[in-house]
Amino acid sequence: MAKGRILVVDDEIYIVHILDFSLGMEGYEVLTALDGEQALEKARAEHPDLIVLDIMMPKLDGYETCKLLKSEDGTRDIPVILLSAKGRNVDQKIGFEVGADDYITKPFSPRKLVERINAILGQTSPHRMQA
Amino acid sequence: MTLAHAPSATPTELGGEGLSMLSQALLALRSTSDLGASCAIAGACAVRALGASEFRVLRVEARSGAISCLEESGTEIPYLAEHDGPVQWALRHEVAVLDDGASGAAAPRETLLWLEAPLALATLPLISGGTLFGLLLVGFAQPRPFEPGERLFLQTLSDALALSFERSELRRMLEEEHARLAEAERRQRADEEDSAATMSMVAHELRTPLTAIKAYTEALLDNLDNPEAPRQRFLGIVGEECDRLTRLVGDILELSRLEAGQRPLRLSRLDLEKLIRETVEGLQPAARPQGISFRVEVEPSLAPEADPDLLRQLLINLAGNAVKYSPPGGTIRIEARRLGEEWTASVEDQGPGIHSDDLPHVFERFFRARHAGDRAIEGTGLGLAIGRGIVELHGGRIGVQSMQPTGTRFHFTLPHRQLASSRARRIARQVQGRPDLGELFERTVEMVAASMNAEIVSLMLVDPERGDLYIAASRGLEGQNLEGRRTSVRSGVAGSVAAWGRPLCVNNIETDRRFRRLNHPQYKTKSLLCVPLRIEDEVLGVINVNNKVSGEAFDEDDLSVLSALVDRVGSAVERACAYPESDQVVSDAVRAVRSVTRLQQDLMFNGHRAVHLARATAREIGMRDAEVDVMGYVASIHDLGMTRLGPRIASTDPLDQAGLEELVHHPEVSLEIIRPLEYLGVVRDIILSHHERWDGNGYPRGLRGTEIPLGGRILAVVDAFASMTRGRPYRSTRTRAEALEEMRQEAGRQFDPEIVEALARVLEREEGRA
Repeated sequence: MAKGRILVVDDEIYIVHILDFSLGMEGYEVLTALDGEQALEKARAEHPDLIVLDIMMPKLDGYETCKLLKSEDGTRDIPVILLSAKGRNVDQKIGFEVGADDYITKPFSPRKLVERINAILGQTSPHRMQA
Repeated sequence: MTLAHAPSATPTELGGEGLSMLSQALLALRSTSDLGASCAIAGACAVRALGASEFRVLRVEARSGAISCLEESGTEIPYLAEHDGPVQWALRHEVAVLDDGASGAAAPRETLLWLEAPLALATLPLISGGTLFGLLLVGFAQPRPFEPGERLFLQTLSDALALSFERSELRRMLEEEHARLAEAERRQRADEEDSAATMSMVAHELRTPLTAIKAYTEALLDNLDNPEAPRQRFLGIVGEECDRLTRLVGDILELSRLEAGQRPLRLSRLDLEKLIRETVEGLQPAARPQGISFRVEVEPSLAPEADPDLLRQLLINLAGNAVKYSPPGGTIRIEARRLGEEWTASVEDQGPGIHSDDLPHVFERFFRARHAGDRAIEGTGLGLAIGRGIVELHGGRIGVQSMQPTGTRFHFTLPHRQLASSRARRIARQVQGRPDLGELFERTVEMVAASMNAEIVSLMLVDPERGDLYIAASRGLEGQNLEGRRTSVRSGVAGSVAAWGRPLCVNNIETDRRFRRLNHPQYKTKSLLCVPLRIEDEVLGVINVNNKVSGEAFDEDDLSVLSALVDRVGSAVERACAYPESDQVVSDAVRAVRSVTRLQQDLMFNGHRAVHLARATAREIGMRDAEVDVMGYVASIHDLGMTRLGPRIASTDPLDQAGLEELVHHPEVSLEIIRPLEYLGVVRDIILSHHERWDGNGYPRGLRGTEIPLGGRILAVVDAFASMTRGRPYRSTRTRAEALEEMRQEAGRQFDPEIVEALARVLEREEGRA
């Protein structure tokens, strides 16, 4: 039984793959999307427990996607972690203004991302439980 | 005319009422910043306190000495001062002229200014801070004396008005300065924003592969003992992303070198068909698995001149893009053919095409068109920007269009020839074999900088090995990498001048349709000159002139003098090559060039003006274009002999006997100095005869009337006029109108009357325009 379902959104396929692997190893079920529009569709249809969302994407960028997610009744309560190569304070501010729950800058550590997700979802790492 | 000494026959004391009016007027003048209002206040005060009938305020333009009458409405009407009238007198001597009317109604009182000519007139110069701004004229209906109190009153009033003028002038200068600064700041901010935006884009592009490398490395480290982790695949991805990072860094460097003009063109003649086929072969590993095929059509024997490495990269970028966007089994068409003096090539795919909104942006850095959203499409986002840089470096243009029903077509057009002809290269080799010519080129650059009053001058020569142009001598480019400033003999300003062999004057490089985009930040002014250096009818190089010290634009007069000077250097080089055994030819030319430099630096305070008037008058007399050019050139160098007189000529001390002798002989000395550079007999004739007089009393030959060469007669008139009106026209020397009047009196004695009148017409037209 999975700990939870996480939607990973990034236009960089390698990033999607590594998050799929890392979160899968953690015991999460991973859904993926390659742009903002796909992300909205999957979020509405699948209602994941958390969304990891890249900012710089074609078609619909992360900010817009997040704003839309937070404005719809069906998806408003899903926590969103923004993921972006932008690292300046002003970008973080916009991130929180559009309703994101957390913000991680690229390059990031998958381990730290997992810890943040665990914290938000109130889970602990199975590895650590074993240790 | 009675001047400021009239004894007062019936002194009328200026009462306390007059003084209170004065103090009110001064108070009012202090509190207004409007010049029209200030004039009205001062004038009304004088009229009321002294019982005058009317007043006028004249403004004098500091540079030209032009006079205009300030109307109350704020408009200015040009005014020509009466000959020997009070305005001329007051301007020349900078003193008040108080005409009490004792000399009768016929005395000159600037009749045209008044509704009814005054019978007594006070003409007061408005001077503040050593500068004369204008005149206040107070006219009276009856003759009247000016007693001491009234003189003091007028003096005080005009001083206060002069202060208003000075304030207004300072404010105008301040506003101009503000506007200039604001513009400079705006530009700098735009530049900074632009580079900040670029930096942030570059950072984002670099972080993307770094993110993958970091994430996969960490995953590998965390899963060293985990049998489920696909370690080999992860390592493969890390390797791929490292490659991507390498490509990105390479592209960024390549682009910045192209954009900074630091990538010199290495030109040669290409076998275009072979180059295209090799490019296609290199792309087969990517194309063949997708079933993508190429169709190449190149016009036979198309062998343009270009940089082979850059052209190969351009083709790889365009054809590589086509492979990326082609559907499986698609065909990519590559065509190249001649187009007159140019050649054109295109690369067309059957891919999804580009959204029409995106078409104008595809050549921008890191721009990814909308169909590129799919991660399967690899690329740095710089390929097309680099492609555009390569095309522009070759002096060509690049474009893109979407095809119906589907597909994208990129096309570019480049000049066919980029290299100097083999004859020019042969001569260039000969020139390079003469080390003494290097000295001549250095001195030439100095001479051009002095003659054109320019900060940056460079002389480019054909490289005999490579066939392109390189900088052989320069001024104002110290500490810069000149190797990168090479150019083909087709592209850019220097290249097109070399290609067409015609001089070029660009008024504003940023708006000039031919060369926009090529401006360089080091050029403070947007105006530039470029003329070809011809030897034996081959263009062997060009001379570029930038940054006029005054900040003004160069004009046709500058271009004509520059062309003439450079032609002379060219002929000296030609003679040097013809007499390879003699080093005398070059050293004589170097000496002459140095003299011209000294003349321009030390003695030609008004050189540009004299050149302009000489050309305009020559044209007015009906001379042909080539003769007009000669006149302008001679006007700029005819006083070469004066350089022998050294600093004495610039001092105000009278010349001693020896100095006078030299002065009288300076036309002959000029001739002797310029001889190593001069090949036109007519030039020597003009120089020798410009101090002859129409009546036969001139020097050195005592020619008379039309015996004097026409050019010499023109130069005599223009030279005299230019030196009479030199400096501040209203002051130590004469106003234009006065100078012209004086010359008219000398017409038929010193000057050819027809030429004096031609000059008068030229001046009249110009004043009408001003």
